[in-house]
Amino acid sequence: MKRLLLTLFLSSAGWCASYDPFLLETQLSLLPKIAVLEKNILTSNVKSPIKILIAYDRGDDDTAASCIKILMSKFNGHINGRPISAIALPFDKLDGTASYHFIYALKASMSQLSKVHNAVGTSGAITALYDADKLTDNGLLLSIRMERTPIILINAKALRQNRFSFPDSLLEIARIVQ
Amino acid sequence: MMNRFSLALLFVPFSLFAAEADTDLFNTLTDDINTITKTAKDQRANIDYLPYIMTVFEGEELSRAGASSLKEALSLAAGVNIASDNLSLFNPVIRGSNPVAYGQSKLIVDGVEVNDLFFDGYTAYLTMPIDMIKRIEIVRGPGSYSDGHWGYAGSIIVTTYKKEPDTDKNSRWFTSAGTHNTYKAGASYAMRENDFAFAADLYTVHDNLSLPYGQDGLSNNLLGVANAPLSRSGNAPSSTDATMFSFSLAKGDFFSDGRISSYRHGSGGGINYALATGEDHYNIDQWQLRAGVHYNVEDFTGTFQASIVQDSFISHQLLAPEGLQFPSLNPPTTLVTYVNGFYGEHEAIIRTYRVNNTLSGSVMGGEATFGIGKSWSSVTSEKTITTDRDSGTGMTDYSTILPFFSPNGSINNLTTYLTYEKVLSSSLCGYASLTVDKRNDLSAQVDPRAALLYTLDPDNLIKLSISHAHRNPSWQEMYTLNNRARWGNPNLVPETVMAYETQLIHRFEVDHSLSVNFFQLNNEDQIYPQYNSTFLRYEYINGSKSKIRGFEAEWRKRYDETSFYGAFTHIWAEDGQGATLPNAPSNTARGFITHTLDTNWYGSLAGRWQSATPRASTDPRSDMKSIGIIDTSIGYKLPKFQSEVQLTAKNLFDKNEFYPSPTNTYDGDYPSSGRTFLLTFRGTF
Repeated sequence: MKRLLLTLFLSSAGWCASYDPFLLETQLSLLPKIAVLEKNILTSNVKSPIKILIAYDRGDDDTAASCIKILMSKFNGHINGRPISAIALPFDKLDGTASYHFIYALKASMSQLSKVHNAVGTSGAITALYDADKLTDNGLLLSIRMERTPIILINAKALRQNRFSFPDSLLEIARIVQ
Repeated sequence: MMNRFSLALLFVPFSLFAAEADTDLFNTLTDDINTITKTAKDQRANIDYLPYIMTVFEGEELSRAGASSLKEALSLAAGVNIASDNLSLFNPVIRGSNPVAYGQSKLIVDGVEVNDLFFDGYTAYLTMPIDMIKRIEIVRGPGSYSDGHWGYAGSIIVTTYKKEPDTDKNSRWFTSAGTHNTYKAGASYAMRENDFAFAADLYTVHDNLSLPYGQDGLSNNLLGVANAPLSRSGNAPSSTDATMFSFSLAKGDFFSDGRISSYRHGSGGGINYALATGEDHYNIDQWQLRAGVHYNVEDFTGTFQASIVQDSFISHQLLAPEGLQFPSLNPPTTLVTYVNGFYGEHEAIIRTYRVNNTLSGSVMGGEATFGIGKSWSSVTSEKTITTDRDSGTGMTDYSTILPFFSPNGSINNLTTYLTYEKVLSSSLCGYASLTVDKRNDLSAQVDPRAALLYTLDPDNLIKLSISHAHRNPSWQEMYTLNNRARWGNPNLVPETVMAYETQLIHRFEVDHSLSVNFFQLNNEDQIYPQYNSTFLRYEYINGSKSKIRGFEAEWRKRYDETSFYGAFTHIWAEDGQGATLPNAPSNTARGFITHTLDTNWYGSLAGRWQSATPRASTDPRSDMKSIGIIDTSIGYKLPKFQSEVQLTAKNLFDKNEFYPSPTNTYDGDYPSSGRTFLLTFRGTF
């Protein structure tokens, strides 16, 4: 009976990640602000909305919807005086046809993160992901991990390749990972 | 090159604007980082970097794992065992530290210590439904990361949804029904508008549990050899009725909060180790009211607060069965037969007034907090009404001549503390604290603590700490009178502990870590009831030393759709004479898995196991057997209604779980409920 129960339990199929709520909220509070510090975004049309995409795995719909709520609530609909427009899309619906200023990926496999990378296309979107351990594997730019303080992680390779330009003051407080 | 130069000229005004904008934006970013750092510390989101060995659970994580109350949640945590007694009072025991004494750990709910003064325990709060709780922090070892609260073996810090509502939801509700006519219901609400904030929560818990006890203490001559044949066994009332309401108000720098808790429980094994029957019950009620103000003095922030707390213990119980024979009071030579048994109504009310001031700020590059507090507690009411001791029938008031609790009990405390935390280098952080506690009639207790946190690299950390702590004797241990099961001793001195702890933490990746901690606790002057064969009663004494050494390992992983928590604790515990310490199992394991099946369905499996529990050397009974308990739950989310339904099965295989009874009281150990089911609806609005 015990073995059967355990087997049934562990063999149940399902695909929905679990998240550290504090880390999630911290990332959603800081990462959009960091993205807006990038010179191209900062100097683009100040009246146009900042377009944010939350990319998620099937089953993470609730978390993605919650991310949008948190973003709208944290920034009261505006970052640096510019309105925010945020949508959520599953990884398998990402393509390069739409352009975004900032793409944030929830928990994902390597291949799903590659789709995020590909979805950037020519839009020059700033990319970030929840799982900081996968930052350097897929060419995404930003993440945050929680140590004593929130640590901003910047992927040096992605920074160089995409010629993103951030203020020196940001680079001084961030941890550049190779 | 020319092109670039021209473009640069063209963009000069905009670039200047951009530079100004990015400076402003960067400043708000650093402000946010500082705020998050403070919040992370306050909400224990970065516990790996705090100078304590602690475990933090989110309420939702625990409810997913099938825990339905604070007690059930604590029983899933590393190093925590729940002990109980003849009244079914519960006592979370941390790392095996003195299971027979309440007050070994402090419970702090929304920043307020709630241990009741009578027992120094918090049984009433252990029924708090998990749906009211946003977060539980379990600090193992002396001290506590909450200003002015000093646990002895550990501290439990509970934050409710009332105190910290979720970002996008400020109101919650739940209702449950289950085995033993259990029903629970509750809700919390929080609102904020400009500088005004209001929050409140309310819950009620009921069951009509009845538990099977073995032969009661009369069989061991606790009420004399002549009464031994009156010993009984069978089902005893263990029902629970608990209701709690709390509120908080804040306007600008002023704040006020209050809590009222009503807890009624069946008398179970009885105050005198005589089996309770029928409507026998006791109440442990408490109310608190607090008001204060935050203020600034130059670069320091301060908080002044004043509070009033009332604790009461009320019991209505048949204390000995029909046919009891006992000498009369006047003269003491006549034998009185209590044809309807010996009934008792007892009431003790203790009121405490407290003022406290804390001041925090930066000192020499570190963060310092200084606090000073004074409290005055005294008995405001004591009633002892029992069956007439000369005729054996009718009720007589013995509050003056045979009080069950000293009506003159009075305790004043003056406590000062200083904490200092400083980042010494990029990889080293130091922490020091000093507490001085002076209680009337006792010498001042001085408790220093020092801790270091060393970051080897972002994925590997080491913590080291040395602490001294004390536990003042509780009112029950000092002032209980005329009760053969517990006789107080006003000359008790505090228990003390010297603790040496270290913890290694390895983070494999985000949301995946393993920690191992090693500890040694040298306890002295441990307080426990010892049987006095001359007076035929259990008296509280400062009896023993104990040395507890051990290690704990905790593993946590949020792995895609599945979250894991696993913990193992091993202790080597011995008393002052080198004998194995009783009532503390050497090995305990805890764990749970929560699994999201799809958008709607989720499930969990939780388990706890402990090795055999040793007895006192004077106890002829064999050790309590090892036991493993498995719980499971399944839930279905209803996003359209912002709600969900969950079915939980506790003790799935209906194992007989017991709590150790003291030597020469009950023949068997204290029982607990077997398999139970609970159906819960919960939601937000």
